[in-house]
Amino acid sequence: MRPVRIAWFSTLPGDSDRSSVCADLTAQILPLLSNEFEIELFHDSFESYSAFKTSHYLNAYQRHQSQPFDLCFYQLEDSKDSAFVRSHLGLMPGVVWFHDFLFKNNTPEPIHNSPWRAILSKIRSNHPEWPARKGDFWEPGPYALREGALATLALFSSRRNLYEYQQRVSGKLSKLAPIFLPYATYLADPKKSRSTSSIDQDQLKLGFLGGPDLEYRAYVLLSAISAAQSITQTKIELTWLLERDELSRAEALVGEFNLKNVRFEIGRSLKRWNELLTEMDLAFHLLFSAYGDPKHYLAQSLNAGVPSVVTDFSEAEYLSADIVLKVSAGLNESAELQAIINRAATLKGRKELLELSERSKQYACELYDPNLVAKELSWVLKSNLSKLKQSAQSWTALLPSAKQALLEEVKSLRVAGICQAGELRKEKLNFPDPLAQVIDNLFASNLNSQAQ
Amino acid sequence: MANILVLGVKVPFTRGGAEVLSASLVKELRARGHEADTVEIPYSTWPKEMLLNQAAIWRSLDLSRYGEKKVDLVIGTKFPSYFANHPKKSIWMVHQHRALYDLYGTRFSDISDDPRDESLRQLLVKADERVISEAQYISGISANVVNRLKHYNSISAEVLYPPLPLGQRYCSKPAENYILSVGRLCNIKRADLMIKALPMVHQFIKLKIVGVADEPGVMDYYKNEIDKHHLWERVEFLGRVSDEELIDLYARAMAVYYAPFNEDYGYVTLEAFASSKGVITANDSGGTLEFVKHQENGLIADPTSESIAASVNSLAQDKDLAIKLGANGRSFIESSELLERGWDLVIERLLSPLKETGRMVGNLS
Repeated sequence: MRPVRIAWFSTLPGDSDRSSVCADLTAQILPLLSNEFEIELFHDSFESYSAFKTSHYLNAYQRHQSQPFDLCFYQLEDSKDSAFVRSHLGLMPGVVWFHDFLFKNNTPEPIHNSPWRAILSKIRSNHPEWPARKGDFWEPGPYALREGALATLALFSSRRNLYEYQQRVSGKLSKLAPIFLPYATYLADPKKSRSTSSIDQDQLKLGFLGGPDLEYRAYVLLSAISAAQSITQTKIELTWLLERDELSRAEALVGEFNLKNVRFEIGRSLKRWNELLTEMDLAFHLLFSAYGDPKHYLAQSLNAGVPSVVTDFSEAEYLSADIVLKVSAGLNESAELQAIINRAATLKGRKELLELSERSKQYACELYDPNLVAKELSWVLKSNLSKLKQSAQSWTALLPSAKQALLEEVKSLRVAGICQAGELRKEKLNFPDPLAQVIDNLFASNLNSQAQ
Repeated sequence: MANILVLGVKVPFTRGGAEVLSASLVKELRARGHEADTVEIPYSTWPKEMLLNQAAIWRSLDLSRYGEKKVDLVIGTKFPSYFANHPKKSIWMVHQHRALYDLYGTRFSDISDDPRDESLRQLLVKADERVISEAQYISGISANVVNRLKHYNSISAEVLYPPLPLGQRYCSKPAENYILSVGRLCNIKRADLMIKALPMVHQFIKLKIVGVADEPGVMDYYKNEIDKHHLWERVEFLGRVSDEELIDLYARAMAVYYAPFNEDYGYVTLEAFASSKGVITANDSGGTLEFVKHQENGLIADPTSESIAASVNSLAQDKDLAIKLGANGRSFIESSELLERGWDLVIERLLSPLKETGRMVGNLS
């Protein structure tokens, strides 16, 4: 039996100089899946990736025509680099692994003119006529409602986004229920575990990888560190992982609090964060925003057994206080962070953190192991394959009739040019219409070779 | 000598680089003793379904003979002129319908995910590949255009840069305090970035804009920006100008701004160099980046008004830099084939399908 063929649409490693959860996850689980599936990659570039057959996403339909795929798989996050994923899943619907469900990025603009509701309505009602061409289908709001409705199966790396999907998306292409599929992270080295003997009471190493913008709470953390340092002898050091274009603002922020022991690391990536975690006593994931969540970085911190502090909001609300330390955004936020830091600077506090570390590692091992994530994804795709194909085909099967409708539309348009004068009559002519014949010869001859 | 038709596409009431290229090619063919003429058909991109009609119109033309003259060769340039059918066809690709390719998914493309639009895209891409591959010789006006053919259509083509339209007439004069912008006024040419940069640029620097608007609402948008920032004394719209006026405007500019999005080629870049002027462009401007080298003959900025303003200020503050960039631009032009000598190469290559049959003469059949 031949392996299932998958067209995999995602930002790939090397596509962007910014951090990408889609690229990181592709790097983690693609090699594991390639043993069971035949996977071709598609992205918004002409570069190839690893040993996989890689193509520009606009060539996907041609690859499908020459060697049909069983399903399309998309990874989607809120970034400009993912804009092509948002476009293409409206051309060939498939399984979507959502890493965001609210989008700050309004790109690409053409999706705002997508008549997806009208087309889904046509599919449901089995109506033969095509909806009238409207000028403007602008979709208000940040939710990925179109993408949610077109997903033949919606997977979510965030429970909170899954909840939002269940509340807001209706009239979907597929009846399959959404599934929570967690991130995959680098596995912790089982030989390295923390113990009381490894505690250095003279210094406390903190890690942070948010941006300098308000929602990442950097200013709150720096304020807390400054206050904590003033009342403890323990040297508190902060390692801040960030992008190059954030550095000057971050330096200015650190300067406002007059902190001396801050080290900047340039190039935010899961790999680099994982390397830095080996030196850390506490990691801070404080994002407080309706958009986004700490993503796989928090998962990586937990997997590495680094006690993590989160803002009790959004995705973090789903985490137990047994495995993370929670603070509330607001007036007491800095004081709560300071209290955590000062506690961690004591021997008793460090021992408590060791216990937290073990619990978080156990939790993360069960959830974020790339082998388990790949196995689950594999099972989900194989067990739902026939339904996934059926849903996707209900959309792509429209292409031949869309083509026919288009050609009829074209032939009825007024033509100005050397060959034809005046309006083309819509009724059947008694003699061959030369331009209509040319249109048929040029465009209609391969009617049956449209992608299915 | 041969009878040759250059196939051009005409958007009424506008004139851009493609029209200049066709006219220049016809002139040079005639100068070499060939019978040459242009065939142009009015073109519109709206409604988008019309694209199929317009391609079909070109396809339905019989270009084999006019009167007693047998047409020996046709040369296609811009979409959809290359859909024309002829036993001897060369293509000097200016550009395809980019909304289907590199502009797809951007604000410059109107192709949505409606299955009818997707059908339109697939039909035109397939047809492009068929009719372009028919040609006995395929080339593009820049590496950017040739790479698009390769990447999107798997068609190999030769890069054949168009020589400058005004040949040796470009000259240089002492620079005055203005930036020159030349080109059609439409969104993709991004003259608005330069207008919006002006408030951040030294007050004594002005902006002169040559070109006319060919998209609705563009002039209103520019004028709003000018009103908003009180730039009435600093921005001058010159519309269309004569060749002499254009040469003079280039000659006296401090520098030339040309930062369209993913440009095909960009005569303006090379005209600036020929006039010994540096070019301010953007890092996503496509064809211009084949010639502009940062800090050598131009400045490559981010496609933001702030970055462009910083580039302009660096020239305003350092006149020696502006002179150096211009001098290097002129050196580049003189060492290239882009002045009059280049036409010999272009015509030799475009006419190569005729050599295959040994036929270079064709008046009467």
